Amino acid sequence: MDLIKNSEVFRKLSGIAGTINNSGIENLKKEGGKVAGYTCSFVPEELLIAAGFMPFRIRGTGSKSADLANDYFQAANICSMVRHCFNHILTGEYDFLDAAIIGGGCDANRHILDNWEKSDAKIPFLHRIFFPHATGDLMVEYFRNQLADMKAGIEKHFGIEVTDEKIWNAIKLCNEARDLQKELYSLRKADNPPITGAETVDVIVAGNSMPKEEYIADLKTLLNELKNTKVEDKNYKARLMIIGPCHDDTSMCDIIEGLGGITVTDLTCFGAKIIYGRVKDSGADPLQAIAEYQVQDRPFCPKNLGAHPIISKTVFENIKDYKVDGIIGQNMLCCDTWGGELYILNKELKEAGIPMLRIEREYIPDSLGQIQTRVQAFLETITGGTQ
Amino acid sequence: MSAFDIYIKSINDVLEELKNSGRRINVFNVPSSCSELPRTIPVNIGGNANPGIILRQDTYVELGNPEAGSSAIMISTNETGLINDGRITLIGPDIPESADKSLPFGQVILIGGASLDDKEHETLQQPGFVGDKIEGYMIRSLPQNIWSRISKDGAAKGFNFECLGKALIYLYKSENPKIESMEIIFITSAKDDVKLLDNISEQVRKISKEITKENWKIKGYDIDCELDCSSCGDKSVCDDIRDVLKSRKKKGLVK
Amino acid sequence: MINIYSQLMSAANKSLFGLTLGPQNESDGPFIMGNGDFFIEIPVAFGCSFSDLTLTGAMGTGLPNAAELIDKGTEVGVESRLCNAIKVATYYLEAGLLKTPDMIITTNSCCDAMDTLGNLLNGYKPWAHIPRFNMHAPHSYDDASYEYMGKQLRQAVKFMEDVTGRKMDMDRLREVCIESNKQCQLLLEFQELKKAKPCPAEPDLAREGAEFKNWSKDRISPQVTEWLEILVKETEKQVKEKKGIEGVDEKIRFLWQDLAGSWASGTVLARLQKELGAVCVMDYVSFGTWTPVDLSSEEAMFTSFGKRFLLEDPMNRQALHTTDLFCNDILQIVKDFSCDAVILPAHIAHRDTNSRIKVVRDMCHEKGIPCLVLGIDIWDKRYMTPDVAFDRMKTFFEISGLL
Repeated sequence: MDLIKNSEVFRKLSGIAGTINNSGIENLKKEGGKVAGYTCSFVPEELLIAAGFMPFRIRGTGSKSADLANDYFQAANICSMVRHCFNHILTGEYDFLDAAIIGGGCDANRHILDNWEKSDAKIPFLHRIFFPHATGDLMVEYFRNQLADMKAGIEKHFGIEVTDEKIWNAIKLCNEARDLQKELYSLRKADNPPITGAETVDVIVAGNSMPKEEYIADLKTLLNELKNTKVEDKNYKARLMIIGPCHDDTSMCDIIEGLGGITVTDLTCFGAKIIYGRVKDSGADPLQAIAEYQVQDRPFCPKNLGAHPIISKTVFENIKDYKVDGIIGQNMLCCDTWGGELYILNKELKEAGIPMLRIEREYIPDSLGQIQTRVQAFLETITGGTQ
Repeated sequence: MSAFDIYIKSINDVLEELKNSGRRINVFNVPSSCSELPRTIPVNIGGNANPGIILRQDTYVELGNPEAGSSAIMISTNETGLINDGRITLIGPDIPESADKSLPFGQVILIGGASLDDKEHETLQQPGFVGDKIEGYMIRSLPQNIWSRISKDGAAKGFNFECLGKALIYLYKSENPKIESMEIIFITSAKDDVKLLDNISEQVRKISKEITKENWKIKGYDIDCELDCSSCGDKSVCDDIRDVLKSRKKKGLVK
Repeated sequence: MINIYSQLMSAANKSLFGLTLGPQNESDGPFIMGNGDFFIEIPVAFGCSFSDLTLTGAMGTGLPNAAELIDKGTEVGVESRLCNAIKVATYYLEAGLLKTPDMIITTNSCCDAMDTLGNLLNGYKPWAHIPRFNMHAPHSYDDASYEYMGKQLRQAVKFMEDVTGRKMDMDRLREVCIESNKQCQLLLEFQELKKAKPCPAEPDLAREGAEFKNWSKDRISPQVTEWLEILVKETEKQVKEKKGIEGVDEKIRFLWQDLAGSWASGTVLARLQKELGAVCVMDYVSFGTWTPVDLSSEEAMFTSFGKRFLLEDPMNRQALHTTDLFCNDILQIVKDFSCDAVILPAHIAHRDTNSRIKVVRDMCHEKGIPCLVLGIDIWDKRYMTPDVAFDRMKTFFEISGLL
């Protein structure tokens, strides 16, 4: 797969995924553009784009320490992703943001807003949005109201009007990006995929960190290159799927792929979860369309009490479509909801004879050696130690 | 111009609506200076004026039981002209005529001061905790609503809404010299009348919350320990302080 | 004074264990299993029994074999730092020890761990055939939220009707709410009396009363209302006579801003009271903000259920909502109950409290209130033993100049 490594467009996307601020953002800001950060995958980029923002999914990439955030969040008991992200906020890594929308995905995440408000890190507009933890018509209505509040808040603060037409256009744009990302994923169904799991992580993460139109153009170029790449035959030890919450760095895939396996798909908050399906792109009410997509079509967060059936269904479909040999279920320490979901899934997979390795880890990997040993043993279990 | 000014108009609209509905209205124009006020109030005012709890059997009248209806609003403005200084308006029955009753209770406090800033709203709310500062009057612990009792002893001394209004004006003005004018409105006529204040109260609370947010400042000092003392680098320092304190305590240098 | 609640709680706990872990008892009516708080007036009026599995797990951590149960819960392997009450509940569930319910009603309230338990209940294969209903408790407290929650509780009633083929008798529900309203007023009266100095009643009375009120269907009976009357009268007598807790020389009054859990009450809090005169006059379960159920119409009734559920259930109030509400409550309690200090036990699995430590500390510092973040496991005394917790609190009181 050295071909992709030599791809200029891949190097660009990989560079964007590996940092927080990037030249695209700098150029956008110079031209008077605005950037809105957000946490949690159910915060709709569509609405931010329609309001004239470049959406940026907040992550803790490159963080070396969470010391400042640990004053706010008790280190031993709070997910390290939240702490590293908040540390970046405190150290000024996110000073380029003009607005931030905090998704109340979990108990720790939603408190980013409370703590941000009371910290020295200033931001012009800060808003919180909650996602329903159950599914039904009432919940769609609830989330639609949340979206309407978010829209009204942005309109009032920035003195703009976010018209339905702008939202429909943004929905179409984000659908186009999702379609291309799905196309990229489908290339991985091949016996010898032209792109690795680690490389895919970079391409997908870049999609939430740069202007959407530019990303779509780059992704089209990349897909064209990948489709025309002649891939050599590789006898992978195992084809794996990664499941769990945040997975925005390549370390887990690097380990798997360094040991002769390959990650062919995932169901994570920075991966396949965000490219799932399409938002309806016409009708009477674009906010209703987004709400239906997020609440009814895509309730993948285990914070939702009705999430398990769709998670399970999607996992088993993926196992079949991507010829998956085994699952890595990974969650951050202290992530209660994903811990529960992976526990239930593990039992189902066991019954179906699909091996699963569960890993509780820190956001910034600090014990890669131990994880490597466990993955190695897992791969050997799958292959029966024959390869 | 204050963020709350439009709500003063809303309050006046509520008053107008109640007047037009034929509610009984009493208006008291009271002296507005702190030096004059205490002399005209029949009960003691100030810290610890009501040190104890008013028990059920000692209660003359209860105000704002959630079943009866309750709402409280405090609005400040730098447009002093919007406030009728020293005016206390009572809509509904007064205390002396309400023995053993549980009345609905709406309380609106309007504060004016040319040098008042919206940012002081949080501070201005502090004298609102008048629990122990008015003899014969006890505010019960219930966030967001106001629920209070007037004692039989207080009622016997002549405690009425004019008296409560005066006491509030005195307490606010004596605690904040920036306050130039104050007006108080009490509603005790009906639960639905008190409910008319709910929407205004909600809006005021939202603005107040925004202002509170702005007021937060990071403080970099705290005295408490982290999770595990044994792993803390400062443990020896804490131990030393503890020893010093023990020794000073023994010598009677500290309580 | 006789601790009526101790007797009530003991009987109620026994009854909950019997209900959840014992054999099916026909006389209990249809049995609902939940992962958290429901609105207890509803199952009572409907004539069915309800068990909160989180509570069952929490009670398990108070049993003599608590350590063994917690370890077994850990071995189940859901998440290593999951709340131990949930771990024990998970163990009961996965070991097949629970009575099979007729219905399952889950909610995300009030924390991630309880949400997780809801998912585990929903994902438990042997119960896959059991009808279930999921509710979303929003992290907001305004009229729209109360209405939204009220509508879901109305839907929950419809669900119960559909499953059982019975109709909710709305008159019976009103009757239950009237009794419940009476009890709320009495509990609030009791709370008011605790403002007195010295504190006239054992802190456990309020804690147990509030816990009992929130989950035990046994409490909606005129007999309990009578007991409450006695409690209030006896406490009023104490206040009038300016008497404090028997055998306690009150020197410090403090707020314990968390649950007491399964061990703190009889150990560290009891020692502090007895040895140092440091009385825990309030904790976040005891702090009641109850308002009556509005009986003016069916819609109003369910909306007020929604309000009680979201804002007035103590743990929902403290864990589900914003840091501002949490902090405002601390300030109000400190002021109203003349507290000298705030202890933030910061139970290790309460992600919400552990996300607020700096804000609470800064606020207390700004207002001149001594504040200690303890960091205990309220269900497992092996994490920080009662003696260590006692020593740390004692040191804190000394350093703060309170002793």
